[in-house]
Amino acid sequence: MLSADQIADALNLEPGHFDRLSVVPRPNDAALRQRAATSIDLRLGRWFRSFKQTRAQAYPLAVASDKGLDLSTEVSRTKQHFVPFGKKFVLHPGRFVLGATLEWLQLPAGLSGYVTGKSSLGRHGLVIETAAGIHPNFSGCLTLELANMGEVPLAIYPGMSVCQVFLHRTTPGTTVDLGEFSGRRKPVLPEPKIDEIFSRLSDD
Amino acid sequence: MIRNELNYYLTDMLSALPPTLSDQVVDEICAEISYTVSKYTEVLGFILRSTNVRNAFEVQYPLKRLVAQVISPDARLIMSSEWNYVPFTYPMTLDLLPDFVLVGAPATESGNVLLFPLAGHEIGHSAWRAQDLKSLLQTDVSRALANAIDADPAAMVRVLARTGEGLLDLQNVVLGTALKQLEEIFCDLFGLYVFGASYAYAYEYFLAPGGGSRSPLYPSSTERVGYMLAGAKALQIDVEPELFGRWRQSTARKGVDPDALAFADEAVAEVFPEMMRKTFEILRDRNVETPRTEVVDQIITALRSRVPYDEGATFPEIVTAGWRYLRARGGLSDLADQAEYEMLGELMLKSIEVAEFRARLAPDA
Repeated sequence: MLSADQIADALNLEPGHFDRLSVVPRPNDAALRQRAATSIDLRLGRWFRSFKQTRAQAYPLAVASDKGLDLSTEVSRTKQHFVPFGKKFVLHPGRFVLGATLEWLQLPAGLSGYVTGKSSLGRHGLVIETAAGIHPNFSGCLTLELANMGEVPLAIYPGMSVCQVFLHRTTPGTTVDLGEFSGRRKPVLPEPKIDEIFSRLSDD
Repeated sequence: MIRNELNYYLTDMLSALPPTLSDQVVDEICAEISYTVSKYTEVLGFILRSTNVRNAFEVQYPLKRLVAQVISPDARLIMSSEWNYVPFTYPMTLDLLPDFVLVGAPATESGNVLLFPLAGHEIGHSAWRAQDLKSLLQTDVSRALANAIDADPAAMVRVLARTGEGLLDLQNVVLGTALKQLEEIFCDLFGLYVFGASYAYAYEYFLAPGGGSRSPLYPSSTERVGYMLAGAKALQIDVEPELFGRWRQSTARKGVDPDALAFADEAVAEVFPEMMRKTFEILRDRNVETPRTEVVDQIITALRSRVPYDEGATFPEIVTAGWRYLRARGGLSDLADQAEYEMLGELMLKSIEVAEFRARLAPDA
């Protein structure tokens, strides 16, 4: 796991350096070193995606074939929201919303990471990120899964410190980065992909 | 405000009509009310669409700051979209909403940040009014017009014979035409000053290949481009000479007198250098910055690395860098280039948001 100094060093590498870590807006170098933590705090962005109530019995999370594929898309299943700085998004008890980090991250081939919530928020019932892995070469804003597991509505604000990312050294592979242009600034909700093994297991 | 006015028409006015009034008069009043209602529905629709999430809301902050800088700190901005493929359909300050500047993009491209330099043109219309350019230029245009008419008395005779108007009426009509043309040129110069080369690129993208039917209230398509390029030269903006190379000339609409239009064109051409000087002077006095070449280059480097720019560039610098990147990549219009094109938009919008973040944290914010 990278120390505070190692994180700061990775951020300070020249643009174009193969091991450079990018976090935009960039955290304050002196504060990062002084804090001496092994993580970078990230802030909440301004775009959210909430789920619509639906008449469908269930939404399939695994797809065996394209036959009978549920054609509802992230556009039809969800609703986007933009919250300006200084305004709040109220997350009610038991509700779930997708958010995104304000920061755009770009990991080099030799780094991977994990996102976790902050205990100070978790103690109020705000649970952040349950699928936390960030792969090498990731580029974009992190989609955050935000759930209110508490008993009172919670007001969350764009720009507030909301989660942290821990970084690990990884032995770089030789595979080509296929997600070179996949970075997004809004929370994304990918559709389930057709899984051949699952498909064969599901055959009659 | 709208409710009050509609109440006046629908309740106070209609209910107060005497029963003896003829059906014809009642029909006329109803038609007038219908027209008023339709006028409001357009504006209300525009305001409603301003909340649609297809809009690039990140652009609101820098555009609002520009409006405050060049029009008034109290001016308010509504960014929205239109279903017609015509950007910015409420360019001028509406009488209905005197303190508001309404900027609209075509709905299909309301999230396309590359198109936003054209907002500079529309904000220019509000600046034209706020700075009362019409009054400032009226004497110069009148003099230029008199020169143009004196220089070609045969044309004057032809126009007077065709239109049946007196010389004074002719001068007034042509003066109005020339001033409207100058307003459009002013708005182009305004957009060019603020947005740099990206204004020319967005203009070319949106209006290519020129041609079409010419309204007398606009310069011809090639003359307009010529004025824009003269402005670019004066501002030392690097625009590729071939950008408008295949631009076609527009043709005057039927019913427009060619000699009268020629008088207006000549007056416009004579006043243009002085108007350009005044335009740039106004913007300099308001401390409006032009895009910095070295910052644009740094942003392009960031875009090539697939990361947003982090040093607090201006919106025009970011969109100029986006255009230069796009053109260097050949336009990214093939299907195979779609992912890169979308990523470019995301990186520009994130860079604009990061610039807002930096501006809000600045000591003088």
